[in-house]
Amino acid sequence: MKQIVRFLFLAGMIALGVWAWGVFFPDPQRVIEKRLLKLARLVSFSPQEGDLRRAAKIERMGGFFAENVQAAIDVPGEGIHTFEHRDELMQAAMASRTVANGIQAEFVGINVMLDPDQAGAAADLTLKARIGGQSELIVQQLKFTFKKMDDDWLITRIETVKALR
Amino acid sequence: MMQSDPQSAGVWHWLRVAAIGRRPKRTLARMAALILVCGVTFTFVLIPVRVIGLSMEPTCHNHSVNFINRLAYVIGQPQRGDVVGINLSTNTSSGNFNSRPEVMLLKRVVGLPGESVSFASGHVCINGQEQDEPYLKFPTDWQMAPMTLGPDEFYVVGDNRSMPREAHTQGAANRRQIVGRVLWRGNQ
Repeated sequence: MKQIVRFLFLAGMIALGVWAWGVFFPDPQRVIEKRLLKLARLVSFSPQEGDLRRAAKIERMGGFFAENVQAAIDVPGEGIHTFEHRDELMQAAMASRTVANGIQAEFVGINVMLDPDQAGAAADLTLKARIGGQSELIVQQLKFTFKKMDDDWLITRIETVKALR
Repeated sequence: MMQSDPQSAGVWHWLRVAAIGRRPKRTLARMAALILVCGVTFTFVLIPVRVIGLSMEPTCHNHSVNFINRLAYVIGQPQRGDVVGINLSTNTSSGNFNSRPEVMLLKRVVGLPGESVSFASGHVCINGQEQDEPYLKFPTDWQMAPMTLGPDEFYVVGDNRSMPREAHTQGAANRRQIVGRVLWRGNQ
């Protein structure tokens, strides 16, 4: 019985150590993946969302992007929209909340590749989105480019990747 | 001394037999084997998919369920007319059984590597020759100039060509993106 208790205690300490290591020395790929999942939640909104919450979300979204972020995104039915600055992107995000009757966005299949110098990274993922109450699902492949600035991974580029030539 | 009711003891006995069998150890072994076989099959062989969208109507109905057979092209290559699952990521390997894309395109192969593909009056033309497509059920008027496929490329397109061509996801997919062939092809 004593040995079982000792074994369980040891297993618990090892598990705690592994968890603490993950908290204090997080894997950059995992960090970037978590940021992307968080970004998808911030991009999503419901029609009942209040103005204050809307503004707060947009402000938090701004923290994910570098100031000179570039974006080339294929908007279904409208073609490629390009943005050259974070402020432009945030204005577009704000405008989308007045035009669309809610967006549910999800990033799936996130694949993060670190640069050899560990100062940059690229992430491929699939965007799944539903606009308003439409049953049609928008599916798009996106590529995010990250740069590490002041201990934060900021997005410097977003582009739609065509799945088929 | 309390005596148990023989009738209720009999009922409980049969309930137990129905639930775990006459030999519980054997039942447990069979359950474990079934779970293992199902786990391996639905992870590495057949990918269950739910169809969302209208681009493959009427062959594959919106919200219908199907399976992608990952072993279909272990020996051999996709053939013209095959309905296949396509990984959206171009940074992939179809032989990597550890990768299971969460979202796939479901399209029909109409062009093979090296061929010239075009559309005239909605029908696909291969090297200038119009193909017979019995699975096309809706009126269509698509036009597209000839496009030559690379040595590893397959042209894929949906069966529902009644929508504008620009709104329909179609084009050349690399062989590495093709995950497998659908199991049930509905209306051919």
